[in-house]
Amino acid sequence: MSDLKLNRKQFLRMGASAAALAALSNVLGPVSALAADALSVAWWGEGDQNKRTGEALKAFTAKSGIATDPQGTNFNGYFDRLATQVAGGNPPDVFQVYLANMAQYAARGTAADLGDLLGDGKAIDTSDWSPAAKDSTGLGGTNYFVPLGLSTQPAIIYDKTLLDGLGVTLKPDWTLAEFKDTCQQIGKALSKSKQGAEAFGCDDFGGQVPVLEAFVRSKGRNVFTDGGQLAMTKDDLTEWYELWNEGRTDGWVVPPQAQQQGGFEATALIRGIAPFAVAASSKGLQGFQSLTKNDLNFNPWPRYSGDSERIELVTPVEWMVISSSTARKEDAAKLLSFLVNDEAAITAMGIAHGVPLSAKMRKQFMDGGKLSPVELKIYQNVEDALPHSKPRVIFPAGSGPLLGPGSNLLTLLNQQIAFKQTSVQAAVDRFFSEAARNL
Amino acid sequence: MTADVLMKHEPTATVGRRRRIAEANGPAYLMLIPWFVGFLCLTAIPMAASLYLSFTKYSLLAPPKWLGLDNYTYMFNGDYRYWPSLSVTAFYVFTSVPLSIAVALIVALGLNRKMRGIGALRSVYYLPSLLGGSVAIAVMWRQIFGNHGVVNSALALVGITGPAWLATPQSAPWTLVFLHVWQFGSPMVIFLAALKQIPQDLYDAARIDGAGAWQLFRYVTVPILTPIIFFNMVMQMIVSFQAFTPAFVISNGTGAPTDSTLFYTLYLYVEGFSNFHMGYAAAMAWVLLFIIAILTAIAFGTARFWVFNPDA
Amino acid sequence: MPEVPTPSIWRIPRTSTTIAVLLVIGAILMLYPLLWMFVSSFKPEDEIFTDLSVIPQHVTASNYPEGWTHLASPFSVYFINSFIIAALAIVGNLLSCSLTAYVFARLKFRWRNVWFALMLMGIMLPQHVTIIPQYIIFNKAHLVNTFAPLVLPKFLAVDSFFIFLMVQFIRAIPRELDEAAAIDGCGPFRTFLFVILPLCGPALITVAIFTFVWTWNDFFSQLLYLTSDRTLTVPLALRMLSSSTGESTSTWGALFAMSCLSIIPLLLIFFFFQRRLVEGIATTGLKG
Repeated sequence: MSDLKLNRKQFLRMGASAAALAALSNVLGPVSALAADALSVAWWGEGDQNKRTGEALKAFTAKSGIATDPQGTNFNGYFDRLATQVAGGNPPDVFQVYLANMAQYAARGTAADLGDLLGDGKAIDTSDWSPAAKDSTGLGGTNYFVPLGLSTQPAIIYDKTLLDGLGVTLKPDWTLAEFKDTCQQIGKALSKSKQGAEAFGCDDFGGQVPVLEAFVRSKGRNVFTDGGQLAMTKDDLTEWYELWNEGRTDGWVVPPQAQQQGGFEATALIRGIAPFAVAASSKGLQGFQSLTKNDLNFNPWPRYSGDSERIELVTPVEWMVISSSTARKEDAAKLLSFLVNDEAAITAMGIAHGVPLSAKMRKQFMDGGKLSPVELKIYQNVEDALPHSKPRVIFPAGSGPLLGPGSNLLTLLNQQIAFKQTSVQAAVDRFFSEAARNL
Repeated sequence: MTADVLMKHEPTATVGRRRRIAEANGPAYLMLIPWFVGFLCLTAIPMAASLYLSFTKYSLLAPPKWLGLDNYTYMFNGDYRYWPSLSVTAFYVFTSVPLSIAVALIVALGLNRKMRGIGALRSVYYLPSLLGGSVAIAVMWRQIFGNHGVVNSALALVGITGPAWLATPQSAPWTLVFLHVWQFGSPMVIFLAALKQIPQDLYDAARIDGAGAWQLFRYVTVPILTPIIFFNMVMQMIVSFQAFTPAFVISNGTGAPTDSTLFYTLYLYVEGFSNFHMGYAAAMAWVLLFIIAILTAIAFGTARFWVFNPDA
Repeated sequence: MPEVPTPSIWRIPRTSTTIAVLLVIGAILMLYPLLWMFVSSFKPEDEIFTDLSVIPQHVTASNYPEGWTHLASPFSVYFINSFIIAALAIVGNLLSCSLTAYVFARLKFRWRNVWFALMLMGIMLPQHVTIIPQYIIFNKAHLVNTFAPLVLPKFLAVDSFFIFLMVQFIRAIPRELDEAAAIDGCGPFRTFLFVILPLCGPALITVAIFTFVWTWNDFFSQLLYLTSDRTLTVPLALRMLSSSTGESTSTWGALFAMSCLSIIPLLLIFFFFQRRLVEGIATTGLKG
């Protein structure tokens, strides 16, 4: 009995101290009085991006006097929260979107029409922007999106230390056939140098949307039409899946049972069993380089054949939109203009979203001498790719289940083919029937 | 329905002595006010809303549109990802629940002793469940079960070449089962408590009758523990059918490879939040509720055949 | 507090030693994955995934200060926020769940079984589909971006698991005590407060600890309702350090370092309360 009373006393004590804590921090009221009239800005960021974006927003407040309420989180969870906020009638004033769902946010009227705010000489001044940036702001003739930076997507990132060791050099204008041969040779040579341990040319890219896009574009088509239908044909997709099937059969692709789940840390490149990886150039090189001591470098996705041209894609990877329900469109536009056109913001944000949209600004940074060697490589890569870049069509609403992030049909079918659960033919049919249902 | 079963199942030792207490509607409802407010606002209304949404097409970004039964018909015939996801979930529930309960029981038996440092040992065994589904766990799990992870290194010592466990559709679900079993802390603690409750004289009496350690376990410990096993089983089943975090963090929300770890609630979440099919997700949720409710009712129905009832 | 005598199934000393050894081996196996995380928190970034051994080539403690200061606020802010939420959630659950459980366990009232069934059904529906209606309610009440959506529900007894647990416990308390209180003129509420609640000590500890652990680890609802940096909690901050797609300069070392730190409060709580936790449940009379 005395024991139990003691417990009760402790219980009360626990309660009392908790209440004291609560009183201290006045938690049940709005936590930050500032937040109510601050411009809310939501983004996802990984690694050090969150810190950098936060710093850029601070620089904006210092310059403009407009308070911001930074709402950063990481990719997993960001869109769930955003959708909930929108559905709940409480969207952030400014928020980040990306390829697979930006059309959804535009088409449903969630993103504001930037017609009077974005353009040459307007609040968000585009006059210095490269065409690759200007091409990516609209959908169906209306401007909604403000790009955050430019990257080549995809860029092939390769382990230069490893290839140098094997005496292999890459040509920027290689063809798909040469890519396959190189993968095959390197896999063998690498395996030999590692006393017969398993080695390959590259990971299985068959489920990676940007690589599929590069492949389809190398044949002269975009994945989607302007009208939001598939421009990619059944033949394209068949050829694509067959390519990776061939790679698995010939042993230059990491077989499915040897793949590892995860991000960059799980790629064959970082695990040292293959020299090639793909990613958007900006995040990619920086991310991979932070995980390995070997020297990494870029090469473009190969040309389709000997007589086709080199087609690259220089594009924003992330965009910002202004909420259509915000009462502060002008302030929001000021913020976005600052983020993409102001030197201080670009310095703070670093390379994570890509290189600056304006050629002038890029040159200024490249000549400024403050870039790290990795950053300089990324800038240089974009400059090399820009002359070969052709605009892409923004993915339409409803493309998420097919080519969206996380769990998408392209990846699922590629895995099913790899594990022989389905045939290429059946997979392609499935993809097109689901496309018809969703688009 | 469930509550009836539950209520009947309560210990009835006091029935004989219990005087029939008059209905106390006024005070009871008065004291239930906090619960009613919470239940109404945070459970009942959202549940009703989700039931309504399950009959609509709802993209989250635009108002819902009435569909009738379309979501339900598509679920049962048309959605080729639905059945695999239900079946992998069922597999998960029916393997991980008994396994984790068995492990929890065995470890609880071992930890139920006086020994130097027993508190630290109990904490160590409880530690994995404290971690929940943190990101660090996911990364760790991928490394351990990876191609060259510690599991395969250990197998290599005995001459077995293991696969990359998370990479094949056959082995990937098992890694999630292992994760669940590894985090057996909560049922273990409940078993520990139950073991402490067993009257010592039962063991003494059995020992006088010449029972050995195994017999003591089999004929004294286990029967007395059946109510606790039952409790853990039902609770774990309800929770495991809704298991989300392990699959989400380990496959980054993809359910890979080939949907082999696409748990029911993960798929529901992908449909609702990534694919903007919240109406369909709501329909999936209600079907799951129905499945869990039926299985819970069945569990309670079978309880009388195997769960020891001291009052019966 | 004296240890309750162990049921001596394993009385033979030799068996006992064997079991002790087995337990320690098992504990090491249980700990191995955590060891990997712990060691990784002391590795330089570019060795974490390229060198998988548990003996680092280079040891660095820099991940700790790096992680602590990496986000907009130092990690102490997130720890304090998590503590406040957990503490309030504990108080809320203790008060509301015990009261509600008392009513279900002891009082007879119309439709009791119906309410009880509905309460249990509430935990059978996946939370992802009720989140949006809940969000709308909290948004209408202007409580988004405060701790209220995370704490207020606890004062309204929404955790059915604990109500059920407490119901079981209260049922095991002899009714004679209630009847004696009734003779002394206590109404139901005073009976709860002065007779039942004092006897619930161990069960309340159980509820408190489980609430602490679950609240500390909760991610999704905190993600939805806490958006501004100053309000972030430990799980949210950890997610901001992690890179789920891996697409950036990684901060894995910092993530592992902070993950290790985030376990410490949980571990301390469990270690100091495990004895009591065990007793707490032992008296709940979980007889099924």
